[in-house]
Amino acid sequence: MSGINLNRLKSLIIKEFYSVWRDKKSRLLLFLPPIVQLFLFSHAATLDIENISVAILNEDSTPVSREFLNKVSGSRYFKKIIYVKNLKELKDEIDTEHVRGGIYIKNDFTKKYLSRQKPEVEVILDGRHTNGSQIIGNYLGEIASSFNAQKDEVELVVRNWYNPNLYYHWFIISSLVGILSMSMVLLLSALSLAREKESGTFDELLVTPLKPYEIVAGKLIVPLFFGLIDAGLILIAAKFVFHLPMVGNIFLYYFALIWFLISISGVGLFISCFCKTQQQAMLLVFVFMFPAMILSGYSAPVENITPEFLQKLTIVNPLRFFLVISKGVILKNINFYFVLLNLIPIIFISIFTLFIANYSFKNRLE
Amino acid sequence: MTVEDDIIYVKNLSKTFKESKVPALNNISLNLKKGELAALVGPDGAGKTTFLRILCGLLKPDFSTNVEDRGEVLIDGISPFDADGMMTVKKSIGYMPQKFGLYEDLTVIENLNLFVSLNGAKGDSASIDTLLEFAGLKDFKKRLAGNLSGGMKQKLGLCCTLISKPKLLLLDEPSVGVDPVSRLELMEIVRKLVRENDISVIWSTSYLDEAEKFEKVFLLSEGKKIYNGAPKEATDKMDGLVYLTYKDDKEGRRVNLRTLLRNILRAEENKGKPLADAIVEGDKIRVVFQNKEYAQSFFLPKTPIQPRFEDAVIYILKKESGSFSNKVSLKALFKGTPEDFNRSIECDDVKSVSKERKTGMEFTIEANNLVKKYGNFTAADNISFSIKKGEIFGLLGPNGAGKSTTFKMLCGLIRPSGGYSSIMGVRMDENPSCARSFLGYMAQRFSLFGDLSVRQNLNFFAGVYGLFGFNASKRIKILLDLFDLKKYENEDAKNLPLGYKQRLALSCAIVHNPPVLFLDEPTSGVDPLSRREFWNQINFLSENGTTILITTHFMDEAQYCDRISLVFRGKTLVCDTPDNLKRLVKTDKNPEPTMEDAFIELILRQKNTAAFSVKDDGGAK
Repeated sequence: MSGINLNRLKSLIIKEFYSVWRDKKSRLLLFLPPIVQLFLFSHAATLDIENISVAILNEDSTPVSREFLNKVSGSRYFKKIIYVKNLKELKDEIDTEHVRGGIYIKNDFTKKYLSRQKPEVEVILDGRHTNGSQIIGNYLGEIASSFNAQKDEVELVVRNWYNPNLYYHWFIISSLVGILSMSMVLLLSALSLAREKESGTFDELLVTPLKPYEIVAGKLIVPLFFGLIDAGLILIAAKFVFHLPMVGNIFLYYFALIWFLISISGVGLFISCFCKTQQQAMLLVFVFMFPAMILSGYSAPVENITPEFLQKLTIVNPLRFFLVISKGVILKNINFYFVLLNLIPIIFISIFTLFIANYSFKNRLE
Repeated sequence: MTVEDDIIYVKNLSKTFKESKVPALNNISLNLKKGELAALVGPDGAGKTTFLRILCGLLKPDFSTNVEDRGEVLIDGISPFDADGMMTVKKSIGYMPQKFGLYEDLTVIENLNLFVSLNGAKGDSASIDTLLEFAGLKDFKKRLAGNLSGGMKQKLGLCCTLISKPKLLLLDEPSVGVDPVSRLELMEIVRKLVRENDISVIWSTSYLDEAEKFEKVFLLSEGKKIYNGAPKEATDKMDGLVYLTYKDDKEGRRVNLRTLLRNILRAEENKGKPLADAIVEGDKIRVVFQNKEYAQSFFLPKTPIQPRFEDAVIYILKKESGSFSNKVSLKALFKGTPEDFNRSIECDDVKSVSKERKTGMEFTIEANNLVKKYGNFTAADNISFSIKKGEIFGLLGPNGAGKSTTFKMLCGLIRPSGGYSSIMGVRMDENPSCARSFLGYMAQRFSLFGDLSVRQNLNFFAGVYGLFGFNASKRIKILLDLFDLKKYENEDAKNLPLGYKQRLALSCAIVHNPPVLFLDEPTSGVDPLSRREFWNQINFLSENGTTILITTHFMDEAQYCDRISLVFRGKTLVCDTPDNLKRLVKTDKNPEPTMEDAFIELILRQKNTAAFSVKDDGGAK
């Protein structure tokens, strides 16, 4: 065995490129879904709770209670306020999900406030929306404490580093670079072989003097190329549309990204070795992608994952490490050492997946 | 003759699909009388399936706004496109599509019961039994449909179609994937149906030798009906036009057939009397003349023989096209100078392949005791042969007999469980990449990269076989010219007409000038004229020293080979010249057996001996 024949490899890469590029539909699919997803994720899938509707039952119609309620309706979180007359109406409003919660001010509110007892405001929340209700509760708590603060008590000053306004889309977009380029590379690499099997050209490829590792290399480079372009598009949008800080070293970032995407295309090629049709490949792509996303610290911090062995499982997930790098570089300029710490596992994983892909390729010849 | 006698009455029927510019069916008029059996014949893409689907009302034809040639379809006097005609027509038609939807995980009887309930028919077990008896499937009731052979699957499909007791049976290529023996049985069943149950049948096929056995054929080509009537009638017209010829040199040795074929074609073309057809048949050449006058002036000794339906079809097709010229075929023969065929392949990995081994080698493809086992099942058992340089070697056998397995082992797509193969003296198991660089491969269904243009396809194959820069572009230019592909150069491969796809697939396979060419069913589905051109090119390659290994379903094509290996149940049954194979089955009853007769007879003989041994086993238990 002598090394890779570069001329052969070049022909394969050109062919791979054309077969993705020349079809109008697949050309569109290269760029449209990532862009659409970027806007969907950054706008619709936000966990920021705004534009909340609440129902208010005020049994204590005094300037004091009204002042409190003004603070609620004046907040940027609450958009629609529905005034109800009794508890039954309040219940109805919540049951029908017209409102996310209710504020019930009893008739002794002003009396207690003026007599420096603790006035009570009852907050009723919709437990069906666990997360959202918690956040609304927090908002109302904030309003209540600021109402109190007018009087005397201590004020807590919170400062959020790296994302001072706690923009949820900062967090999302810095993760999306990894996730969207991952899904693109995974699909392209997993489908390309399956498509050849469907059309019967796979046999032709195997009959040529191309060696298994040349086929793996050729099949890897084109998905990688388009993955990097997609990532680039998202980064540009992040900088100029969403105004993320982008404080880190972009070259370092791309270096990590390349390794990350190599590891992913290894997985894709491995999947496609076992699939006869594009449908099967697509299914397996999703089987890999969702756990990879869930166990990456994207939707929930890795430390929160229970049971604990699932946490341990995340060390084989390249996305987990890349997200640390991605957020680190985009939001806070982490140092080289820290990038390396997360990059080394990625490199190991990519060597492993490429090895597996190459091996299953060779042994595909029964 | 009145319309009432017709089970099918079609007038001025046309259909153009939205995405295509050329009509799939072009102004077809025909009729089938009650109780008739007819073959619908044509190559892939001729419009056979479209026609059948329109008859069942599954596709709507183009109805012209012009009242006079509006287009009409009547099934037993009723149009399937009338408001309430659909249901009536549906009940009277049994349609068996190309891929009949049997449930592979159900048994034979379960499949039948399912179709009974789907049809809402009252299927008592007695009538199902008669059907099974009729189709010869009675002993296989409990077998899973997925485990049936191709022929038995078709028979079961037929039974399922017959449950609704149709008046008209439409069979879409029922003989595809069925070996000749089962094909014969299937046809016998259908004939019995027509005879005893007064059912009318249309049987579509792309095999001309199969069509020849019908009393009536409708011949379609590119959506047009070009012949309608008895095949015998057309064949009889060819009387006195078909001859066998040969030439011996001064020492009395037979002249190389392929050289002779080329010379004959060229000589007659130059005289301005192009031949209607000329092919290798055994150790002679079969020539078909345009007319008797041309036949008279032929320059070689000739003996008249019985014409075939295929001769007639080619004659009709050529006449239809307006020219009998064999220009395209001959182009290959004129243009390809021997210099272009100097082998330029170097194995980049192995220095051990010496020059003389490459040029002076006698056997270019060798199979040595090849064995392939899947669990307990032996797909190929101890297969050995050696193929000489420049030989055309045919691998024949029924489906599942092991011929594809053998073929794939030879070109390195399947790893043998035992034995080895070698190409140009390089063993496939030891140095696959090098061995592969010697071979050109043309896969079934002409698998090309559909999204790449013709030129990009050629560039790719040139590149992976190590041809670059000037050499590659020179070679590609020659091929584009040779195969008349220039006009499609920048067209996506997937949009090419089938015949051109075949040409492109062949040019991709020979772009690097391989000494060995592997062809896996290279002509299936292609129209007869393209098949002729293809074989002329193959002949030319062989003449120039390319060794060719080919698998085919077409029995007549087997005769173009120098030698044939008949594979059955994983073993080589016989391996000999076509003439010798025919001689094996010669009897007083059948003094002039065809290739298909030989094939069927040899397999039946083997089956009978096998059946005895199975019976013996049964007795021992």
